[in-house]
Amino acid sequence: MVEYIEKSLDQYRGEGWYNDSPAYDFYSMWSFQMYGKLWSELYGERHYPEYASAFQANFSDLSDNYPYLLMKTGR
Amino acid sequence: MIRFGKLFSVSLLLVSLVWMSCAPKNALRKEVPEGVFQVENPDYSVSPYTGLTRAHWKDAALYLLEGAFCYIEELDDPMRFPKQPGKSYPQDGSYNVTENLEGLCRTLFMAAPLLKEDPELVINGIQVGEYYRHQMKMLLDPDGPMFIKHMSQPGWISQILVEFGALAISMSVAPEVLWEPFDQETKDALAALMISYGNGPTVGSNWRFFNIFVLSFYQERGYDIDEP
Repeated sequence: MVEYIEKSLDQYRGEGWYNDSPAYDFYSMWSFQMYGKLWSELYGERHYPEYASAFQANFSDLSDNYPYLLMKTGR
Repeated sequence: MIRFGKLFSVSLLLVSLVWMSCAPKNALRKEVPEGVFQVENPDYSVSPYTGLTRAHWKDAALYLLEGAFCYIEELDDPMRFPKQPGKSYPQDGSYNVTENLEGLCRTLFMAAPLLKEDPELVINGIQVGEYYRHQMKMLLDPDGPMFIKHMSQPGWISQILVEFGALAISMSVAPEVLWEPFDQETKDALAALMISYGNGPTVGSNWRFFNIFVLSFYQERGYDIDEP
């Protein structure tokens, strides 16, 4: 399991984006970022705090760019 | 401590917002008909664009579940819904195990947060927690329609891993409803089944999270997982 966690974190490329072998797509957000944060809160913070911190930090990186991908109209 | 409020919103985001009401198929959608979900009393101080609050997400979950459960008359009934021709699968007219499992696990994304707050929730005359526990036990019945075989060795990747990842998330959110009531024999059998997929092959992509959620759930409860 630790191997899977490490490999998932290795797919992080910076500025909030994960590479989903090989695409940069919506899965970066709704899978890596969401599952990463969810796992961190459910299990990581208690059992694997270093990995949880990494997922949390990667999530925080989103705020500099992700909101600007979307228009006020939702497009 | 689990910050359940965040988990609740996240869980709902996982759900495909497919309209599953029992209304006529040709119902007009341009204007929201009476009985179709609407956001009442939006709070734009909380959500500047949508006005959605946590209560609205709960209302939306209950609305969709009410649609889903109108196809359930007894505990044995799987979560199967009317088809959209050319869109829905399976297209050969027969049902299959994966479809049943998806129906179970995806609707449970909506039910688990609600059961966390109301373990005795009843929809359409069905005790929701009891329904899902019954369906989970059916996964272990080799003579039933929900039966899932253990991952064979060396095995192939399959959608079952995805659904078990989803199931593990819901079990993690509301273990007091979706895990603790089982007797030890059922717990051990469910663990062996799900861990066989958690330890099985995956795709070198976001799919790894499905293994991670299955293995984390059972590791925390004392089961042996493939931990180096």
